[in-house]
Amino acid sequence: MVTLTFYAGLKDYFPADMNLGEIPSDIGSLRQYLRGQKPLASALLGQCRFAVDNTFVDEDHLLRQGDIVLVIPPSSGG
Amino acid sequence: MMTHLSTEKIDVMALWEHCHHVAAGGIVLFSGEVRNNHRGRNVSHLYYEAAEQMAEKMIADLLDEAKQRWELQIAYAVHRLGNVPVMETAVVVVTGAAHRKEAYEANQYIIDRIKHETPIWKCEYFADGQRIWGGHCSCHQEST
Repeated sequence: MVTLTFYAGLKDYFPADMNLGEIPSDIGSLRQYLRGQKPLASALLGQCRFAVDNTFVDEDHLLRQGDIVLVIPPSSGG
Repeated sequence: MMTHLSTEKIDVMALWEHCHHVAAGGIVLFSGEVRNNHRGRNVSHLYYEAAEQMAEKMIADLLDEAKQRWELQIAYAVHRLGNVPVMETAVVVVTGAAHRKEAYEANQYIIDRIKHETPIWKCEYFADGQRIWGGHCSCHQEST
Protein backbone atom coordinates (compact mmCIF):
# COMPACT_ATOMS: atom_id res chain seq x y z
CA MET A 1 0.00 0.00 0.00
CA VAL A 2 1.08 3.59 -0.62
CA THR A 3 -0.53 6.63 0.93
CA LEU A 4 -1.26 9.68 -1.20
CA THR A 5 -1.73 13.17 0.21
CA PHE A 6 -3.45 15.80 -1.92
CA TYR A 7 -3.31 19.55 -1.50
CA ALA A 8 -5.11 22.70 -2.54
CA GLY A 9 -7.26 22.40 -5.69
CA LEU A 10 -6.65 18.67 -5.92
CA LYS A 11 -8.87 18.24 -2.88
CA ASP A 12 -11.80 19.27 -5.08
CA TYR A 13 -11.26 15.92 -6.83
CA PHE A 14 -9.58 13.61 -4.30
CA PRO A 15 -9.76 13.13 -0.52
CA ALA A 16 -6.97 14.77 1.47
CA ASP A 17 -5.45 11.33 2.09
CA MET A 18 -5.97 8.18 0.06
CA ASN A 19 -4.52 4.68 0.31
CA LEU A 20 -3.69 2.69 -2.81
CA GLY A 21 -3.54 -1.08 -2.34
CA GLU A 22 -2.24 -1.75 -5.81
CA ILE A 23 0.99 0.19 -6.20
CA PRO A 24 1.78 1.84 -9.56
CA SER A 25 5.35 1.06 -10.60
CA ASP A 26 6.58 4.64 -10.68
CA ILE A 27 5.50 8.27 -10.41
CA GLY A 28 4.66 8.46 -14.13
CA SER A 29 2.33 5.48 -13.79
CA LEU A 30 0.78 7.00 -10.68
CA ARG A 31 0.13 10.27 -12.52
CA GLN A 32 -1.57 8.35 -15.35
CA TYR A 33 -3.62 6.33 -12.87
CA LEU A 34 -4.85 9.48 -11.13
CA ARG A 35 -5.69 11.12 -14.47
CA GLY A 36 -7.76 8.06 -15.31
CA GLN A 37 -9.57 8.25 -12.00
CA LYS A 38 -10.46 11.92 -12.36
CA PRO A 39 -10.30 13.10 -15.98
CA LEU A 40 -11.50 16.57 -14.96
CA ALA A 41 -8.32 16.94 -12.87
CA SER A 42 -6.07 15.81 -15.71
CA ALA A 43 -4.72 19.26 -16.60
CA LEU A 44 -3.94 20.07 -12.97
CA LEU A 45 -2.34 16.66 -12.41
CA GLY A 46 -0.17 17.35 -15.44
CA GLN A 47 1.27 20.40 -13.66
CA CYS A 48 1.86 18.68 -10.31
CA ARG A 49 5.14 17.68 -8.75
CA PHE A 50 5.39 14.59 -6.58
CA ALA A 51 7.34 14.07 -3.37
CA VAL A 52 8.16 10.85 -1.52
CA ASP A 53 9.22 11.10 2.09
CA ASN A 54 9.10 14.89 1.77
CA THR A 55 11.58 14.98 -1.12
CA PHE A 56 10.71 15.88 -4.71
CA VAL A 57 11.11 12.92 -7.06
CA ASP A 58 11.26 12.48 -10.82
CA GLU A 59 8.79 10.78 -13.11
CA ASP A 60 10.78 7.53 -13.15
CA HIS A 61 11.08 7.25 -9.37
CA LEU A 62 10.05 3.72 -8.35
CA LEU A 63 7.34 3.41 -5.73
CA ARG A 64 7.67 1.02 -2.82
CA GLN A 65 5.40 -0.51 -0.25
CA GLY A 66 4.70 1.99 2.53
CA ASP A 67 5.68 5.11 0.62
CA ILE A 68 3.94 8.35 1.51
CA VAL A 69 3.48 10.32 -1.70
CA LEU A 70 2.62 14.01 -1.72
CA VAL A 71 0.85 15.29 -4.83
CA ILE A 72 1.91 18.90 -5.12
CA PRO A 73 0.10 21.42 -7.36
CA PRO A 74 1.91 24.53 -8.64
CA SER A 75 2.88 26.76 -5.73
CA SER A 76 0.82 29.86 -5.08
CA GLY A 77 2.11 31.23 -1.81
CA GLY A 78 2.78 34.85 -1.04
CA MET B 1 7.26 23.31 15.95
CA MET B 2 6.83 25.67 13.02
CA THR B 3 9.47 28.34 12.48
CA HIS B 4 8.72 29.67 9.02
CA LEU B 5 4.99 28.97 8.97
CA SER B 6 2.47 30.52 11.32
CA THR B 7 -1.21 30.03 11.97
CA GLU B 8 -1.13 33.17 14.12
CA LYS B 9 -1.26 36.76 12.91
CA ILE B 10 2.22 37.97 11.92
CA ASP B 11 3.29 40.93 14.04
CA VAL B 12 5.43 42.83 11.53
CA MET B 13 6.44 45.56 13.95
CA ALA B 14 7.60 43.03 16.55
CA LEU B 15 9.66 41.31 13.88
CA TRP B 16 11.17 44.60 12.84
CA GLU B 17 12.24 45.26 16.41
CA HIS B 18 14.29 42.07 16.40
CA CYS B 19 15.80 42.34 12.93
CA HIS B 20 18.85 44.52 13.44
CA HIS B 21 22.55 43.76 13.44
CA VAL B 22 25.63 45.81 14.21
CA ALA B 23 27.18 44.94 10.83
CA ALA B 24 24.03 45.45 8.75
CA GLY B 25 23.82 48.88 7.15
CA GLY B 26 20.84 48.02 4.98
CA ILE B 27 17.77 46.13 6.14
CA VAL B 28 14.84 45.33 3.85
CA LEU B 29 11.51 44.11 5.14
CA PHE B 30 8.97 42.90 2.59
CA SER B 31 5.42 42.34 3.76
CA GLY B 32 3.09 40.59 1.33
CA GLU B 33 -0.41 41.66 2.32
CA VAL B 34 -3.89 40.58 1.32
CA ARG B 35 -5.55 43.06 -1.00
CA ASN B 36 -9.28 43.43 -1.48
CA ASN B 37 -9.44 42.71 -5.20
CA HIS B 38 -8.17 40.37 -7.86
CA ARG B 39 -8.75 41.04 -11.54
CA GLY B 40 -11.76 43.22 -10.85
CA ARG B 41 -13.38 40.92 -8.29
CA ASN B 42 -13.81 41.80 -4.63
CA VAL B 43 -11.79 39.52 -2.36
CA SER B 44 -13.08 38.86 1.17
CA HIS B 45 -10.04 36.94 2.45
CA LEU B 46 -7.38 34.38 1.52
CA TYR B 47 -6.80 30.92 2.92
CA TYR B 48 -3.33 29.36 2.86
CA GLU B 49 -2.23 25.78 3.32
CA ALA B 50 1.14 24.08 2.97
CA ALA B 51 2.89 20.76 2.82
CA GLU B 52 4.25 21.86 6.15
CA GLN B 53 7.35 19.74 6.69
CA MET B 54 8.56 20.33 3.16
CA ALA B 55 7.79 24.04 3.23
CA GLU B 56 9.59 24.53 6.54
CA LYS B 57 12.73 22.82 5.29
CA MET B 58 12.67 24.53 1.90
CA ILE B 59 12.37 27.99 3.44
CA ALA B 60 15.15 27.22 5.94
CA ASP B 61 17.42 25.96 3.14
CA LEU B 62 16.55 28.96 0.99
CA LEU B 63 17.47 31.38 3.77
CA ASP B 64 20.79 29.58 4.33
CA GLU B 65 21.53 29.74 0.61
CA ALA B 66 20.73 33.46 0.43
CA LYS B 67 22.77 34.16 3.54
CA GLN B 68 25.86 32.66 1.96
CA ARG B 69 25.30 34.07 -1.52
CA TRP B 70 24.80 37.70 -0.41
CA GLU B 71 26.77 37.51 2.86
CA LEU B 72 23.70 38.51 4.84
CA GLN B 73 23.71 39.25 8.54
CA ILE B 74 19.94 38.80 8.68
CA ALA B 75 17.73 36.42 6.70
CA TYR B 76 14.28 35.62 8.00
CA ALA B 77 10.95 34.63 6.48
CA VAL B 78 7.59 33.54 7.81
CA HIS B 79 4.44 32.64 5.89
CA ARG B 80 0.95 32.64 7.33
CA LEU B 81 -1.37 29.63 7.13
CA GLY B 82 -5.15 29.51 7.46
CA ASN B 83 -7.53 32.41 6.90
CA VAL B 84 -5.93 35.82 6.36
CA PRO B 85 -8.18 38.90 6.19
CA VAL B 86 -7.67 41.83 3.83
CA MET B 87 -4.79 44.13 4.87
CA GLU B 88 -3.14 41.47 7.05
CA THR B 89 0.31 40.12 6.30
CA ALA B 90 0.51 36.79 4.47
CA VAL B 91 4.29 36.61 4.23
CA VAL B 92 7.28 38.53 5.55
CA VAL B 93 10.87 38.42 4.37
CA VAL B 94 13.60 40.36 6.18
CA THR B 95 17.14 40.64 4.88
CA GLY B 96 20.03 42.59 6.28
CA ALA B 97 23.44 43.14 4.73
CA ALA B 98 26.32 45.55 4.95
CA HIS B 99 24.86 47.50 2.02
CA ARG B 100 21.39 47.98 0.57
CA LYS B 101 22.07 46.40 -2.83
CA GLU B 102 22.64 42.95 -1.34
CA ALA B 103 19.73 43.32 1.07
CA TYR B 104 17.31 44.24 -1.76
CA GLU B 105 18.53 41.55 -4.13
CA ALA B 106 18.44 38.82 -1.55
CA ASN B 107 14.99 39.83 -0.37
CA GLN B 108 13.53 39.67 -3.87
CA TYR B 109 15.23 36.35 -4.52
CA ILE B 110 13.79 34.84 -1.34
CA ILE B 111 10.21 36.01 -1.87
CA ASP B 112 10.25 34.91 -5.52
CA ARG B 113 11.47 31.45 -4.57
CA ILE B 114 8.89 31.16 -1.79
CA LYS B 115 6.11 32.12 -4.19
CA HIS B 116 7.22 29.94 -7.08
CA GLU B 117 8.71 26.83 -5.49
CA THR B 118 7.67 26.31 -1.90
CA PRO B 119 4.65 24.01 -1.46
CA ILE B 120 2.29 26.66 -0.13
CA TRP B 121 -1.07 27.42 -1.74
CA LYS B 122 -3.62 30.17 -1.52
CA CYS B 123 -7.34 29.93 -1.98
CA GLU B 124 -9.03 33.22 -2.81
CA TYR B 125 -12.44 33.77 -1.29
CA PHE B 126 -14.51 36.38 -3.06
CA ALA B 127 -17.23 38.65 -1.73
CA ASP B 128 -19.80 36.82 -3.87
CA GLY B 129 -19.11 33.57 -2.00
CA GLN B 130 -17.06 31.87 -4.72
CA ARG B 131 -13.55 30.57 -4.15
CA ILE B 132 -10.62 29.75 -6.41
CA TRP B 133 -7.43 27.89 -5.56
CA GLY B 134 -4.43 29.76 -6.86
CA GLY B 135 -2.80 27.99 -9.73
CA HIS B 136 0.38 29.45 -11.08
CA CYS B 137 1.81 32.50 -9.40
CA SER B 138 0.57 35.63 -11.15
CA CYS B 139 3.97 37.37 -10.95
CA HIS B 140 4.47 36.92 -14.66
CA GLN B 141 1.34 38.88 -15.52
CA GLU B 142 1.31 41.54 -12.84
CA SER B 143 3.18 42.92 -9.87
CA THR B 144 2.15 42.00 -6.33
